[in-house]
Amino acid sequence: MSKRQFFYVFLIPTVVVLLAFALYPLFTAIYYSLHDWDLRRTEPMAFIGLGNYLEMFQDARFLNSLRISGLFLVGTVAGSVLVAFVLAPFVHETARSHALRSACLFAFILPAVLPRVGAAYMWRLMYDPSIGVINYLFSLVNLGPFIFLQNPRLALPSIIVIDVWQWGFLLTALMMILLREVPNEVIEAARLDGTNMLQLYVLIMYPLILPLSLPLIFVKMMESLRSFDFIFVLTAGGPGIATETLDMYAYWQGLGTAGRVSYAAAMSIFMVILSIVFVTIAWRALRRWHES
Amino acid sequence: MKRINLPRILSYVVLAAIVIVALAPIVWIILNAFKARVDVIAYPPRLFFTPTLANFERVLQIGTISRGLANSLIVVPLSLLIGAIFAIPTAYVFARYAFKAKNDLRFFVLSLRFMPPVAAVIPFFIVWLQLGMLDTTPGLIITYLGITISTMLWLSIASFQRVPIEYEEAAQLEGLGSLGVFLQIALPIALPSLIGMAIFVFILVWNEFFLAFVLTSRQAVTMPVAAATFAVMGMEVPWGQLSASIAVLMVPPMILSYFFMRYLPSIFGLRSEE
Repeated sequence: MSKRQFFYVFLIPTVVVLLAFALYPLFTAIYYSLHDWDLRRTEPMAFIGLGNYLEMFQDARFLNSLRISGLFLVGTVAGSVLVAFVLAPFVHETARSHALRSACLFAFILPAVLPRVGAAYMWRLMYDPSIGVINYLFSLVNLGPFIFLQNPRLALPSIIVIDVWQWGFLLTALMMILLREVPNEVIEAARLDGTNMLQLYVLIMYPLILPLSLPLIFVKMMESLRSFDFIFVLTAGGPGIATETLDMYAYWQGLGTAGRVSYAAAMSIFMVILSIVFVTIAWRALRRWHES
Repeated sequence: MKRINLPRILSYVVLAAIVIVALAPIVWIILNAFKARVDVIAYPPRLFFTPTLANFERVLQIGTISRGLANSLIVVPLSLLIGAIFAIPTAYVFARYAFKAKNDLRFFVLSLRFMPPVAAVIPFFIVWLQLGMLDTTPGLIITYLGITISTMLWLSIASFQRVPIEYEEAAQLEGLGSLGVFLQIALPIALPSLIGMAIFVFILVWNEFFLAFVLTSRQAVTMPVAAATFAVMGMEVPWGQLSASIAVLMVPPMILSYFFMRYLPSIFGLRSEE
């Protein structure tokens, strides 16, 4: 097989398949979003132009879900990054032997490789008001009992904690891998200059590993937009609509109880646009960062 | 006499506490899977109890769970295998050939990974509904190919870029064709890191919930869907059985996590521990 043949035989089919996977759902969703289609009614689909989109921005429940998604995104990204930036240096400095570091690394990636559904049930069991171990621990210091997931004010923070448990530890593990790669000479030189630990990390270590950790933060952001698994198992969007994110609301409208497929399609197109804007901005910023 | 280093001991205590926070929820649900009902609902929660296998026996008798397990064991390897056939040679093309649309195509592949599942699921739902393939294993496998092909393609490019190009050039001089160079030189050298990549994608697809939840209902349910939904049926959550089903669900990712850990450095382009 010549170079040219190899190129076409192995590039074109895959690209075609991937384009089909991307464009077909996208255009179908756009098509439905411009119509009025309700699974509960028998009348045929009617073209209504941008009607669904206009309705969306007057729908208080949609605007609420936008707000919840935003809070979830900010809470989980900020929480995970903060955890990683604090824990990674601490563990890196405390566990100095290779074996101990590997053991910690392993313990930290375990929460993240587990199914989100599994993680959600673990914490639902621990959050339980009557048999949960967290309330037991609070009761030891005469606090509680708290009904974490059924309380509109506590539910979202409680869910964010679980996400940070998975992602904070994963980011910590990844940053430990990066810290391991910092050459010893750099650290020795800094020590000779009399820098203390805080200066060492803020001025030398963090800037060195930042180019490789920024893409991770970006991945975490995109991951935080897809919270369905978690929230479905923990609260299904409740109590009321206190934890109803965008994808959860679109699910209820289109596939769950309501059956308004076209309205849900409009919401999903809105999410695609949001993600594209997000990805493009982050991708450009990352490339500029790498070039400078 | 050696003096006791108090700050050092203190930092080890804190380290131990951090590790406990990371592992406690996992250990806790596994313990609950082995508890009899009276131990599960006991308050204060019991750390010590007589273990029983009753929950596992009961759970594996539930049709949904055993079907979910069987389906997952078919759906996940198949979507991985078909995905690899599409993705791996194409990744090699991306790594070794220069062409005009390369950067745009790479960005496109990456953006697929970040497409919100809810946007993809509604059209897929409609298509499978119209073709009568809702709640079927083939329907789910085809849907998953969108995930496996794009993710495997994106991650494999780096594996091939790390293959020393001199080996390939030498083989070419000896008269090996492009397919031969790929199959006999590049693929074997990249294999360890490709296996790491495949393990990562296996975990990803094994854990997938949302698409399977929407596109299957009875016959084609996967393990995460089965484990998550059988508890919703009753009013009171049967925590012992639920814990057992979650424990079963967690077995493959837990086994693979060690290999996943060794693969991790290579996502930064660092050498993985092979």
